[in-house]
Amino acid sequence: MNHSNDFLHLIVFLVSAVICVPLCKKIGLGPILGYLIAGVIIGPHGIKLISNVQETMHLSEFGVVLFMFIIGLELNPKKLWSLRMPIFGMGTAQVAINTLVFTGISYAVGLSIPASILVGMAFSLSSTAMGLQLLNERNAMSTVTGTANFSILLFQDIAVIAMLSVLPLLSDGKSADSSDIKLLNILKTVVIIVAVLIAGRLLLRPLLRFIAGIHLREIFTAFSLLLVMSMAYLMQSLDISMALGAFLAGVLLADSEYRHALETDIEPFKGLLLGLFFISVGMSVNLSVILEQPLLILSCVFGAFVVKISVHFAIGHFFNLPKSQLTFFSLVIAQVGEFAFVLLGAAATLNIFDATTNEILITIVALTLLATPLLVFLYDKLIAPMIEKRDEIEPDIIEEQENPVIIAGFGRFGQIIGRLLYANKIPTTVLDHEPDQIELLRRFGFKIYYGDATRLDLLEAAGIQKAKILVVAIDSAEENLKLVKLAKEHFPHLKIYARARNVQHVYDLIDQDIEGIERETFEASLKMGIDVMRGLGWSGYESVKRGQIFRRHNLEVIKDMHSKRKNEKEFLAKARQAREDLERMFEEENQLRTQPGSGWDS
Amino acid sequence: MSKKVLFILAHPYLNRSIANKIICDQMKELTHVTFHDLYEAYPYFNIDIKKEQEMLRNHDLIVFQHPFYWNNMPPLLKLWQDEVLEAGFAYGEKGDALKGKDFVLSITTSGSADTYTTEGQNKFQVTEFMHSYEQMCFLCGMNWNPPQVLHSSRQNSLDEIYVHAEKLKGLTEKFLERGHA
Repeated sequence: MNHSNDFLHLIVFLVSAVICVPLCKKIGLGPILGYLIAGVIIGPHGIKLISNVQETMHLSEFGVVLFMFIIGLELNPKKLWSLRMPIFGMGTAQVAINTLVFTGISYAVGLSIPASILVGMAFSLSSTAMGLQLLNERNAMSTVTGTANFSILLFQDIAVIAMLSVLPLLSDGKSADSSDIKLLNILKTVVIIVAVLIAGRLLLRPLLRFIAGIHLREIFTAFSLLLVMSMAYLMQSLDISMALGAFLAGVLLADSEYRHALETDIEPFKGLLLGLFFISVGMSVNLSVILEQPLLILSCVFGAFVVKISVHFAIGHFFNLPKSQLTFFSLVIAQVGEFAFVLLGAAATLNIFDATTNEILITIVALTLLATPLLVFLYDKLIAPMIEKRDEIEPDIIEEQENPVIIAGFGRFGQIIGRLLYANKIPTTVLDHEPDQIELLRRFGFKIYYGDATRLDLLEAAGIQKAKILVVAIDSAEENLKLVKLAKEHFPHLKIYARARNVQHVYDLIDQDIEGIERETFEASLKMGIDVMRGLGWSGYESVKRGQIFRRHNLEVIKDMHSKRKNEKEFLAKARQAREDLERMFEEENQLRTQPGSGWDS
Repeated sequence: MSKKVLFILAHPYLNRSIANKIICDQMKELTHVTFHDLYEAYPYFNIDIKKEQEMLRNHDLIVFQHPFYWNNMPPLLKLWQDEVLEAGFAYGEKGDALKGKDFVLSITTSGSADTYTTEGQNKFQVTEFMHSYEQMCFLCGMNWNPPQVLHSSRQNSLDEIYVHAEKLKGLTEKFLERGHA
């Protein structure tokens, strides 16, 4: 029976997710809220399809663990070391100030001292799962503020260790005598971690090489999961958060050649489990508790946001984060995190406060989680446009570069342009949100700004005011066009060269009336076409000549189709448009089938 | 050490020229002749200067084979001349890499021999159009040898073309035997 029950639960989870998530995404509320709402509906306080919230949450916490592993993969020890300031500076500030403020407020409203401290600690924490997911969704993980968010979340995971060890002290205060044993324990933990790190460093890579050498995809996946799970388990048995353990495992493998393979293998598990995690958070929203004391609970939720957002704002300001991003930075980690559930649960068993208070607190925490994506939605719709406008008048003052060329996007495409310019001693500034090669590029004299190139403040910091040329080499057509429009609007002096993803994108770029448009695969395909002709025995020059004729003709046809399209065919569906365009290109190219250079036959 | 011949062909559309094709096929039969098809090697006109110069150093007789279009050499060969025969290599100070080598110009013209007369449509003797080649040899210290011309290359019968090609081949063989043209 139990078996079929589990199976049924799985179906319930999947059905609710499949219905709610796309719906929310369509409306623009984002997938996280979809999961949360699905959870509210199917949970014990909704239509009661699932009752074991704790168990589900426990299972799904593994999603967070996998997430931290993947993030660890992106951060090699060197990069991690460079983050020590934000982690320990901002992290300490965030946890300490929030704990103090929340403890004070709790005490002021009449909770006991231990209870106040506990609430203070619980409410200072944020949700790693939600924070990282929100950053991930908008590709902001490697921006300056995204890194700051991440650093704080990472520090919280470390702080949790301390919090858990304080917990018994709060219940009676008699266990203080065991501090000697505690110290010994800490020492033991540190030794074990160091041993694991060293062993991991030495053994993991050869082991991965061996596993990969077997060429069984599922075994590699199994090993990846095993690696993360065992590391997480080990850390948990040392009373350290599982997520932190997984993160360390990730860091250990960050510069291994299997990084990307591990990432792609873990990714789908992470996605599903995170979804499950948000569902279980939704399930813990107790509607009846809210209905009993709506005013109290809603004001507490509101208060929690006000406190956290203000504290984060102050911290961000103090640590000189870009002004335009401060609100988003503050908001992303403004919720009370899932770890509060654990602390509150533990507190309940230690009888630090009564069951009603506990229930109310849990509901508040769940509501802050529920509200965050909503607030982010409102931020996007209301606040972000305002900030952008303000930026125009008052740009951030960061040291300005004066390189004549800025390349946005330094992947396969931008790199070649950058290298050509480098070879010819043309100073170039690069914008990219892939922190991977930054060290290397800096060493070769590139000015690198990392973050979302469609952000006005980043462009200004990179010295776009004084640049002559902007190369838009971003691969996503959408982002690419966004940057072109932005640059066109704010910096009309610029010559813009853009990489085009496909013909449709070319049309959009022609509409923007920019200097140079280059389809990313056109020249390479054309070159290979020429090579194929030569491979068939056509003479080199004849093949090249025909390639050149084809190129010129194709460019003319595209221009022509673009202008015609504007006049008559605006209502055609995109897919149909593309097919018709292709058909026309073929028809036009049919007329190319004559011989070039007749007269060279002497 | 035996002598070596560098046979440089410059024809953008070789498969449309029966005469040039036959000449090339004949020359390819010889050992110690390096056949170098410029348009095949550099269809994008990105000439590898160092490689070309090395090639010149390693040969004793340089032959230009090309159609005489607008009474001149095809553009890739002109570019080759501009870039490869640079100062310091082919002429000027320390520019003695070609000194003492032999040179033969071998061309095909679509015009008949009598078009290259005062009354003909080309107005000048065919050799008059070759002054710049001769001067190239003079500047580089190469020996200018009698040019080989196949007139009416489009009207000639296959036999006539073969006769011309064989003659060219024979001259080259003689050079290889004697060591000078």
